Amino acid sequence: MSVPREGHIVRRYDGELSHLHYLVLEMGALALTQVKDARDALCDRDLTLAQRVIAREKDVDACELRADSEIVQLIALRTPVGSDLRLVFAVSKSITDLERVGDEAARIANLGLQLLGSEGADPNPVLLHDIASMGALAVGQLENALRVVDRWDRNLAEDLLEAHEELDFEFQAAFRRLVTFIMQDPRNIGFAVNIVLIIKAFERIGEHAQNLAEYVLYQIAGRDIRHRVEP
Amino acid sequence: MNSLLELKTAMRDERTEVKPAKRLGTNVSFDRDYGDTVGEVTASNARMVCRDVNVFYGPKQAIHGVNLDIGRNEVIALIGPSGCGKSTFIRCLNRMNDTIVGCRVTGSIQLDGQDIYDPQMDVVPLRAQIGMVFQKPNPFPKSIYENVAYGPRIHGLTQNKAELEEVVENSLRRAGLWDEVKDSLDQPGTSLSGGQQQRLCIARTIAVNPEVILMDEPCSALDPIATARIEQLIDELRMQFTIAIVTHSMQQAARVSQRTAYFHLGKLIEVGETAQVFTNPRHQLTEDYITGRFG
Amino acid sequence: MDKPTLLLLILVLTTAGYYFGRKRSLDIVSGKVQELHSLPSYYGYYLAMWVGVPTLLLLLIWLGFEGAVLSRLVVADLPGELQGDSGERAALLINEIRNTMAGAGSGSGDPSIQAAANHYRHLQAVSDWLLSLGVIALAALGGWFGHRQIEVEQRARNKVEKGTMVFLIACSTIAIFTTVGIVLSVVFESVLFFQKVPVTDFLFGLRWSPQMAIRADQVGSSGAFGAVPLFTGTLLISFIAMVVAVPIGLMSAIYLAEYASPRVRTVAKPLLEILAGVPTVVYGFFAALTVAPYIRDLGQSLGLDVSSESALAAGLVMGVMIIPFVSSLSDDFINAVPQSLRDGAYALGATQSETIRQVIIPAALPGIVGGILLAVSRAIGETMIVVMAAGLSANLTANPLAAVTTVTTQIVTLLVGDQEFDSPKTLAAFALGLVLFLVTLMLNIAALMIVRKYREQYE
Ligand SMILES: Nc1ncnc2c1ncn2[C@@H]1O[C@H](COP(=O)(O)OP(=O)(O)OP(=O)(O)O)[C@@H](O)[C@H]1O
Ligand SMILES: [Mg+2]
Repeated sequence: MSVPREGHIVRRYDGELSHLHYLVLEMGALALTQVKDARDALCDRDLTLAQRVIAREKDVDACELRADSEIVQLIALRTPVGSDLRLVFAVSKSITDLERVGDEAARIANLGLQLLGSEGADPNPVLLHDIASMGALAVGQLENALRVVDRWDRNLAEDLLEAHEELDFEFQAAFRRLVTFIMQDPRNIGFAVNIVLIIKAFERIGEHAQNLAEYVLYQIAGRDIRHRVEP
Repeated sequence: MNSLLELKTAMRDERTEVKPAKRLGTNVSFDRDYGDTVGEVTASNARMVCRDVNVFYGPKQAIHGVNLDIGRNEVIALIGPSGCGKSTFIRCLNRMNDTIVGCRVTGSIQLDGQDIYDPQMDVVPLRAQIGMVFQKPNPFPKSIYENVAYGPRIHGLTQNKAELEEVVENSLRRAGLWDEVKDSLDQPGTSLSGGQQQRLCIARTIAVNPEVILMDEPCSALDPIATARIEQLIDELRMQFTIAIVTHSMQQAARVSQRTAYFHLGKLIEVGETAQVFTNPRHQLTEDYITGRFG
Repeated sequence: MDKPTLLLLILVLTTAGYYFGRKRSLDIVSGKVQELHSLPSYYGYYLAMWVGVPTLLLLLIWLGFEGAVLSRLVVADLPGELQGDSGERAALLINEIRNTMAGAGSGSGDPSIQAAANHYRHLQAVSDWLLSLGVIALAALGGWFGHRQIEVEQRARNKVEKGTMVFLIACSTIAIFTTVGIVLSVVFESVLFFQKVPVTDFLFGLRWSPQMAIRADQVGSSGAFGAVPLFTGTLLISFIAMVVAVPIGLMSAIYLAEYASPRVRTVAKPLLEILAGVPTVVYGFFAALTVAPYIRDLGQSLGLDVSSESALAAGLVMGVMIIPFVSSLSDDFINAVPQSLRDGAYALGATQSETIRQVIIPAALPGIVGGILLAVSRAIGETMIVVMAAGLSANLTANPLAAVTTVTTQIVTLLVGDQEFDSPKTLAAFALGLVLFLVTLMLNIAALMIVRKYREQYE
């Protein structure tokens, strides 16, 4: 199903709804770039890239503001109901989540600056290994989530939701590894804390990606499936 | 962690169970006995029960096999495109269709368990039990007082003048009109504004103390303030009466009703909790209508 | 050419004007209609107007004055001894001449009259020729002028519209002036009457016997012109008529509007309205020959003294006659009561008769009253039935079994037969007519006002 479904008697309404959809995708693309750049900055030890990520954070915020005002306007003027209402709601929630994703990316970039920018000791490359794998997972999930939002694809969304444990497992594993590192050499503790925060941020990004898929499912099926995942 | 599996199975079930392109959504439960209507047509505390109602205007069938319960202390909204038979259906409920030459009703409609189309049934007390408010305010060309006093008078509901005055005042108060007209009760009812006239008609209807009130587009000629007043009034009346309201305003249906019934070409397509119908309609036609994709 | 031929000629010329106008307009723009200000047919009408209107006017004026002018010319040429000096004599002469011209037997053998007739004939021929010439010249002139006027930018449509409007105004003016003329003539004659008989005597006198003595010493030499008995008679009969017509008319209207099935209605309503189409003379002899004797016999069997011509008989039949006025109008007004009012009453649990009595009739009342007033003015003005059934004796009585007379009947009797137009007896008819006219006028205005007020209520 292509969403937003066209065919309103007021054709401009169709346009406004698809514009909302477009805004989500635009903001999603921006957030994805941020996450990718933050990861690359860490992996390639590129401090300027990290700085650029931090500087671009305000673009994401601006995007959210713009989307919010359009949503409010649409609600006021069109009072959407039924699937349109669910679409607007899903878009609104997605925007919030994407903004958080942007925040997380900025935080990763900040943490990267702390991690790599400090004079003196350089972190053990082995420590950075987990960052790369967690980052790859998070970026993958976000990409998939955006694909879901783009095509409004129910099966893709379900697959994505099924994969939600991967990041969790990965995070637990990485965490355990870091703990062992700390126990081997207490001097690593400063780096390790930073790295935990970073991989936690990646894990959060993954969760936001899951949320996006849930909103899409809500829009399509009309059922709220959030929080049903937790027992 | 098995909930995901649950979700998936639920979705698959729904895919097999629901005819494609006709019904949206999930966990559709409906009783096959009640025809094609999607949603719960029965109400646990039904006051009016309609089963297999068909209405014909001469050879033309305007209502096709409608099953619907109207619950106690409930406001049910009837929505649907123009000409789909909402007025026809609501007029069946107090036998107003009797006044139309060539109109024939089949099936059964019960009020508190009694068939109102029973040949033994006397329509005069029936219509006192089931009042009706019309689209266009239609005060009688009499004074405000006489308009409200008319019903109690013809039914002999009061013993003396003082009692009648009390009933009139009470009805006007409940209709939220008393303060505006208490000094001009002898003015003609037609001298009031449209919104006031409509409230006068509501006062006239509740003066005979009906059990069910039918409203056919009661706010279609009113401004937002008068509309809001009447919606507030409906909300208050719900405590005491059972109300069925036909409206073309989706927002109004959503605001005042607990259940919503969607009619299309003389058929009852979907009934459900108002909140559900407006956020997640189950039938494609309902969805198209309420989101403005109709036609 | 004689006049009918001339009229035909004018029509032909006008039609030709239409075609030339059309053609000319198309020629100017060489067929491109869009470039014209108006449609080609408007240019046609425009030219036709230029040809037709002046010529027709000329014809009318000519017709109006030709007779007078010719007569005067002929009379002026007659030998002096025939001319005389009184106008009446001249008129007689003209008659004589015309008769001779027509070859009627009464034509006198007087040679001078014969000569005058020939003279007249000659003048007539000249006049016809002149008229024909004038018409043709005027048509040509108008045609040429109108033709020249036709251009691309010429607003033919506006002018034709204006011409149409003037024409319509002229038509309605004729109707209005006729009414005014009638009123004025009645007023003038009445004034003459009131110079002979004081107004107060007329309006308040209790005795009506308009016979004037031919010789001064005759018994009852002066007539009495107290109109009161006439008006009470009129009122009595109208009252009886209304007593019959209002309930029956109203009830049948209610039946037709509220109870009758559409089939019954389509048959019954026209049938009822046929009553209004029956000539009043028929009602009259029905009243005089059927109803009046019946009433007399009935009265006698009850031991009442009933005259063979009674107010009751006339009133009853007149009542039947005006039933359709009441019923048809009431029916319309009952039907005009919005269905929503009925629905409102039914929805409260009112029965059909309650709805009718308490909601519909009050809502339609102004209209019904209007209808009744129209019927009353019809009853007051009615003559034929009364002449035949109620008698001619001007009794001042309220007894419906006695013979009475009405205003209209008296007007008829006053004017039937040879009359002198300066005797009070004849002039009294005009005074009666004037008062009657005023009464019915007021009733009509009242009815119209009530009806109009009613209309405003529901629109
Ligand atoms: N008195 C009548 N005679 C014949 N057909 C009728 C009559 N009243 C209604 N109908 C037909 O019945 C159908 C349903 O009409 P109804 O008035 O119930 O529609 P509705 O849903 O109330 O429309 P609206 O929203 O415009 O009021 C229409 O097709 C109409 O043509
Ligand atoms: Mg309707």
